[in-house]
Amino acid sequence: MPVSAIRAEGVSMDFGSLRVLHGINVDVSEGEVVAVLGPSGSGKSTLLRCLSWLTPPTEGAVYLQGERLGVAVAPDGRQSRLSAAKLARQRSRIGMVFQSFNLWPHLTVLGNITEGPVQVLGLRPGEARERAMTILETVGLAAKASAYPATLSGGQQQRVAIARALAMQPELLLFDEPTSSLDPELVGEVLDVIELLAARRTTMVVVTHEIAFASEAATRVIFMDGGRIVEDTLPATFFRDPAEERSRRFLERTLRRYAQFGSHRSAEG
Amino acid sequence: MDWSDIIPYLPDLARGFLKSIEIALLSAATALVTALLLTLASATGNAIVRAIVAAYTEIILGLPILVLLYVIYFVLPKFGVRFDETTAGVLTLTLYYSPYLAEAIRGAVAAVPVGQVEAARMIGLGELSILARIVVPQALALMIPSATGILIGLVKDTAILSVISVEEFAYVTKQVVSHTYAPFETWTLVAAVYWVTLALFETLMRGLERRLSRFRPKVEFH
Repeated sequence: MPVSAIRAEGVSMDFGSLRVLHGINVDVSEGEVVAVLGPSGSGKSTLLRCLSWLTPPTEGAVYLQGERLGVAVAPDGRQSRLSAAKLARQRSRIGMVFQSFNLWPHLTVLGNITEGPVQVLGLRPGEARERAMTILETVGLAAKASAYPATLSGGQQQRVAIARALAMQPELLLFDEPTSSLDPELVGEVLDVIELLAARRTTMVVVTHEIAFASEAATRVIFMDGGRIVEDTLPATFFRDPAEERSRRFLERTLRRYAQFGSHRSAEG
Repeated sequence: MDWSDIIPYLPDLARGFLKSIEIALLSAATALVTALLLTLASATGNAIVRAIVAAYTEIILGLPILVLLYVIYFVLPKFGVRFDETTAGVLTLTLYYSPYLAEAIRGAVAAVPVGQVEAARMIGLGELSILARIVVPQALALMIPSATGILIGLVKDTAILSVISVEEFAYVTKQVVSHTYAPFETWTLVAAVYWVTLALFETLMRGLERRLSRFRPKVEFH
């Protein structure tokens, strides 16, 4: 039986009187690459923020490797907020990549990547630097180790952000629209890195608008609409024969746009 | 015009100058600490604490510094709270300038994007580490320009303490003038010293800002 990397049970999220997630159940196994698709406002990003506990859900539970996230459960079943230190330790096991990169501008590329390993994992600076350089080679940015983020392109910054997450050797990676704020010609270089990780069977949940990525690199597609999971299936099934009318309409709209403007992938991608 | 008349009084003027610097440094330090406490107090969730901070800020912002000084030095003793001149002066400068500095700190902290804090949380950094290693290093650089302006105001306002006979630079100068009858030369000299001191301070802070924000690309206009 596959091991559950992250699991959401009955996760609902309210912003004021607006319910943006309706009792989401989802279980991601180790090695799965899940693409989360859906129109804007369908709750994809909110789901990701609930999975990382950056936005604790109004209702429901999240389990990281079977361990309750963000909530301490006493032997008598009473629940309380998990201590900040324990929550921080849980979060360090989840890598998150944001739409707007969120690199720390006052630290160099190397500083961004070694911060977590040194401060959280307790690695010696030398060890952390070695680990960081190996990862920078992987994402093709070893030459930029001593550069400050502001001097990098968006695509480079996002690759550094991925490297920063990888340096923590997380159990899974969450991507929140990692290419949505990039110029079209820079999307390819970031997707290449994510596809490389997918090929290595890194457990990933990727919220994205990149249909081509979802159909080629994902092992599973979740389609969301109106704060609900409408479809949860294999990419091949989803793209060839979507079960739901809403998925069909979404695909038609998106594919029409693709036909007009082409994929965001760079020419050589 | 005869500059030689004031030469015998240079040691007195120097003493006054040093006293002003001492008061300014002390007041700046206590005002910064108070400002930090005000910022932290208004950042906590407690509504009562925040209301107190807001009321304090409103009262201070609505008073001329001279009036605040007189209240502390002349009114409080009627209620049994008595300070010597220097303490009353430092207290006045601290109370008067801490809300402005608190606002500079608050603005600088708020200018650090929340996404950077979220990224730090996902790496597993604790809240204190996030403050110390992500927020403060950036906020420091961001607050320097506004804080410099506020602190220059504080240094200049040390001269107001002369009205309660604190023996600072302006007070001593007045005394010297009453002996030398050379107001032109004496005040010209003193004005130049104030100006040079503040210009040096400003240059120092600008250098510090450049150092602290060397990661940030400069805006260039063509």
